[in-house]
Amino acid sequence: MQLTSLSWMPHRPCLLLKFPNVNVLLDCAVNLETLSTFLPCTIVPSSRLEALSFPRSWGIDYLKKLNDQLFVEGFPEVQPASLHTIAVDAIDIVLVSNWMSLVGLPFITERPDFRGVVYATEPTIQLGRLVMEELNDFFEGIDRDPIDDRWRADEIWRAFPNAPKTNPKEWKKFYNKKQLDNCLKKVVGISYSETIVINGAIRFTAYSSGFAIGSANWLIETETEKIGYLSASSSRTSHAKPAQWDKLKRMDSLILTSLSRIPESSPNEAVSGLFKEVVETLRARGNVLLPIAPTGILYDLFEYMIQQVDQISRDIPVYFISPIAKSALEYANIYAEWLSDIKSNKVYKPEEPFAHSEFVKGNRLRVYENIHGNFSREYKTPCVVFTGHPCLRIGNVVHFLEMWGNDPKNVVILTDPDYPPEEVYGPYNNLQIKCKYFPIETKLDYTQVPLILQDLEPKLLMLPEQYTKPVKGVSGRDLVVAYKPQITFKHGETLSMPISGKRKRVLIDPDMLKEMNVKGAKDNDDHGVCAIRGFLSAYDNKLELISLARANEKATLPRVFPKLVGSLTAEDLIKTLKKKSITAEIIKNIIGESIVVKIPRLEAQVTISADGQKSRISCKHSENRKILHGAITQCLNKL
Amino acid sequence: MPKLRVVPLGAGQDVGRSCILISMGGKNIMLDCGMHMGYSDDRRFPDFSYISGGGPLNGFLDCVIISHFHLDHCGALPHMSEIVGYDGPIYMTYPTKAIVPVLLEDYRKVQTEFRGDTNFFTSQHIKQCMKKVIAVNLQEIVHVDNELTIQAFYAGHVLGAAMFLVTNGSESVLYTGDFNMTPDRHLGAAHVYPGLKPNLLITETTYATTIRDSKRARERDFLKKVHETVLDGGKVLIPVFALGRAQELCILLESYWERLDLKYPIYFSPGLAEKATKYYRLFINWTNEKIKKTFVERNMFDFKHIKPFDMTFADSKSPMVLFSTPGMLHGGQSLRVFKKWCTDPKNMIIMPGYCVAGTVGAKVINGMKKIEIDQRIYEINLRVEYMSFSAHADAKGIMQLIKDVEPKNVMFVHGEDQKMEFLKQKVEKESNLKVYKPANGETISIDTEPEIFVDIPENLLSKSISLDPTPSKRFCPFQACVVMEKQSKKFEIISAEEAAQHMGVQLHSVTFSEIIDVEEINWTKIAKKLRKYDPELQMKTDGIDLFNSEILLTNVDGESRQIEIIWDESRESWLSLLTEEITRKPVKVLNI
Repeated sequence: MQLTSLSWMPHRPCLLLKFPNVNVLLDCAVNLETLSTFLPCTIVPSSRLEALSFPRSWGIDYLKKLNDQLFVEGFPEVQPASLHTIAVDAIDIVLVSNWMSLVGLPFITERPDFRGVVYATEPTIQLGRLVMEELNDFFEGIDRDPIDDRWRADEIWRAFPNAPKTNPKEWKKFYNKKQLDNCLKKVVGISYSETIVINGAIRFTAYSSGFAIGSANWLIETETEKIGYLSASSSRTSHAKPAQWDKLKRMDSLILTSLSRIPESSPNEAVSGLFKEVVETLRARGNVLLPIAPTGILYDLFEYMIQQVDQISRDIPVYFISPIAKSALEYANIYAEWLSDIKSNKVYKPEEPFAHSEFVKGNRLRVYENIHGNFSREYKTPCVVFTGHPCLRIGNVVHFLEMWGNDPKNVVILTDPDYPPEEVYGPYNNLQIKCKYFPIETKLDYTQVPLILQDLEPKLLMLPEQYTKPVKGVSGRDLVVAYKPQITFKHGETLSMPISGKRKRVLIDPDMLKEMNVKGAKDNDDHGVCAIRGFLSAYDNKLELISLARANEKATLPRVFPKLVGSLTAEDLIKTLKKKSITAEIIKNIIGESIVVKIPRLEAQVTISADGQKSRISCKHSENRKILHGAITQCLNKL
Repeated sequence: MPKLRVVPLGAGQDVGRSCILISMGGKNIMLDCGMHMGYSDDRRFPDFSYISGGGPLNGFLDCVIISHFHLDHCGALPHMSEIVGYDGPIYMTYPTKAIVPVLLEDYRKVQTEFRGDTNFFTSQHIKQCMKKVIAVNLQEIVHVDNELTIQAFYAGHVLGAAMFLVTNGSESVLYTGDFNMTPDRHLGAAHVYPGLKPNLLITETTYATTIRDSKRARERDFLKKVHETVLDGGKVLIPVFALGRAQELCILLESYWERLDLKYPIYFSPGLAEKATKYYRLFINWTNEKIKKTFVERNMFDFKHIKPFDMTFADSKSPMVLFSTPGMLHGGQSLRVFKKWCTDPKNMIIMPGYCVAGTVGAKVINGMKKIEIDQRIYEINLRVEYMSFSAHADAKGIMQLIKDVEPKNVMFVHGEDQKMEFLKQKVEKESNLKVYKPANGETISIDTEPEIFVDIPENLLSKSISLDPTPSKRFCPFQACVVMEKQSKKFEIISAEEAAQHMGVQLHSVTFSEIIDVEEINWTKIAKKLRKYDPELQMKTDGIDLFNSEILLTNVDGESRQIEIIWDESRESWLSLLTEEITRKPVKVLNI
């Protein structure tokens, strides 16, 4: 087995696993952090972002100076996984673990050379589709003049005070709706614990990873090996079905990726900090802006938020603005099979798993597709707004930041650990609005990993190199992932794994077992030995041993001669042939050399080696060869 | 030879109280636990004493599986688990788990309140029973224990209906429950992995002899009859199960009313109807693709023309259409309305599904003109139409399923004996499979061939594969030895050479040789021809060494047009191939 890492971000994995017969791509990374290099895309023109200067020395007028940082006023781009090192047409299957990974999928499947099949759980497909549609909608709403590529020169972008972390030459435009739809047609929906067999050679099964609705970890089994793959996983209580760790115990290799971006995370503290801030802001009649992804943690936040806001005043509206807001809410309520027991048991009452539909009916949660039309007429302050995108460059959030930016009573609360303020808030640093960061990170962190590994006991841990380098925890102590034995991989590198067992599992015809007559070679031997003969079918990668009798019923087949034991003498052979009324004579007999026996009637001769361990039948006619082979067999013992 | 034993306690040559016991590799599984609506005595439930001799069933059963929420598949469940006694796992899909208690409660009410049955399971029993239920998702492989697994497949019969594959080691049984092979307005078609090859397929055969006329024609017929009746001032009663066909027919009627802008009222039994709509919404993933796609924007079950029914409407003089529960007129609202409407020839009753023998519904379908209900004789003057809308596979669908899953044996349940016999002959003739149709209490026993796997070293396998010259590699000569540890009976497969060494004996090798005539001896040219068979062949000054010396080509002393070919006995089948290749003359291009 070979593993190649195609992603430079351990929390956005993209790994190619090569087996002798099948190539499996694990997840499809797409880096959206690149968006922060671009100037925010406003929906309504903002004077603040229009009158910006550019550095004279380069003379590139689309590089805008803002708060001592530089931003590109061009169409924002993202960075998909780097596929140039691999043969895309050789990918047989793609396993997509969660909605974040699905977002990167079209960059792979919509290449003309892609021929594989994609597997993901039903909720990953549906919720992921919504996230993709939202992003697509945001991108389609952007009106920017085309710019040239001068800024992509190394000496330019590397000189930004806020220099991008990856090379902009690898960045690409986001896909369009048609590509998105085409891509999703290639995805096959599966259930947890449903085992799929590929080419009779590889079996894989998705198990809950506890991170999001439908998020998966994978078990990949070959004839001889069990490989576990951990994508974004959580061992905390959430609305999603808890992680099924027991299915990934004692793997031959366990691939660990997608750890928390905060080494020691405390999502509960973040949530209570967030609500404290919300309550204080609303009490002071300020507005609360929550830039957020349209699925995932926000389902929990709605339930807490309505509770909290109701305690202040039932008149304070809570808005959820997204082109796919309605679907995001409705879909969450149809996946009982994929939720925690507490949530899924509600359907037996029957009630919807999440309270948000009730909030919508009761007008406590108000849903709008965008800020135009009804929203602009109906909205009142103070209020709470959930909207995207958390990168603060595209989507409705840009508008709210510009609109509420001048009032210090307002607050924008960042919760997505993928978009921390030091990376995304640059263009807004000079605004009056408060910016708070309460990262709600539920993925496995460095303190949880050792416990999980202790429980899973993999025979080998494979992990991104980054996880073995110390990071600082809250208390300032160094945290690393250390397990024995472990091997690390990094972007662009290929690891070759020795194939552990050199045996393969073969289905055996019961008749062959019945024919087995095991005998001990020596009296006091505790082992018995017996020869077996048959035919092996390797058709369609399924290995099966068929007894001679059964095989011969099905086809005309060559004989499988039994192995012979012992030494042959010319005398024995002549005697045996004589019994069949065939005359034979020795024509050459020099001591220490081969003996040649001639059989005139069969137009043949048999050459016997000096030690009697080898015999050669020289003859033109296959029938006669058979007679002589039979005679030799009679003279000797079968193994 | 291991045996698979199956005995139906219900649904054997019959429809009603489905309950099939299977026994495989020491595990006992109950498939469905239904009631029979044709009986009100002990025969309404399966005879559970067959299993345990009268006592509780713990220890006799490893698990119970319920295929869908219809009472003839789950109606005896609380009786079995709470009164007879069973505490083991009960599996059903999520929607089934949600809907079963509602129907059981409804059933209990009909039995105890309308019929005055006092010896019946209670609401508390239903609650306790449901606590033992484990919900499963489609296609999820559920481990009952270390050996036994079950897997549900979409059956399309009603919301949440599933087929179940039960596997124990290498033995497997696929039980269809009730299923439908064609998608309809609100559900998809049954979907099971092709080529599952179970040892036994237990299939329902409700419509074993029916090839249903085209669905559209049936629907047009239904709409025409309903429309005619209301035009004529009559009332239409459609007895339905709360969930299932009711929704299908409502969608159909709703769109017809909309299209023709009709104003006649359509009613639906309240309570259950609203709950039903709620269940469909929660389990939208179990409906068909079209409904799934549009559910955010519009709810297929929020009807514009269909309103909840009040019993006072029943005495109204004006025409109306009423969907009312229960479907077999065995009690409840539909029977009460029927009693009021049955004497008026202007009215019509449409029976859209199967009715179990003995129920008022069955009597109506059979065309009885006088029916006794609660010690009173009713004259049946209204028009009676029986239209099969229940979503079962027809003969074609059953044959299709058999073709798809390729079972080794087939067993029929949930159908009538003669109809089963007809289909049995057809299946046995067309697919050459053994078909069983046991009566209740009759055991069938099927020999199953165990699948045994051995681990074989890769070098032996690749050696064997290399010996077969055909590309399909279906019959590769294989030779090896088995070494068995006498005490543990554990065995290992090793090569003959290793075995000989272990036994302290020497192998005797036999080779063959033959001399063939050639035009010229040019080893380079010959090697070029043969490289496609062995890319690693070795060329020597006086010959060629193929397949690691298993075949040798050499000069014959003093002969310039002869080659000796020497081969190992295992390479016999390569001889003709190689000889032909060596002696083949190059094709000459003719100049015309």
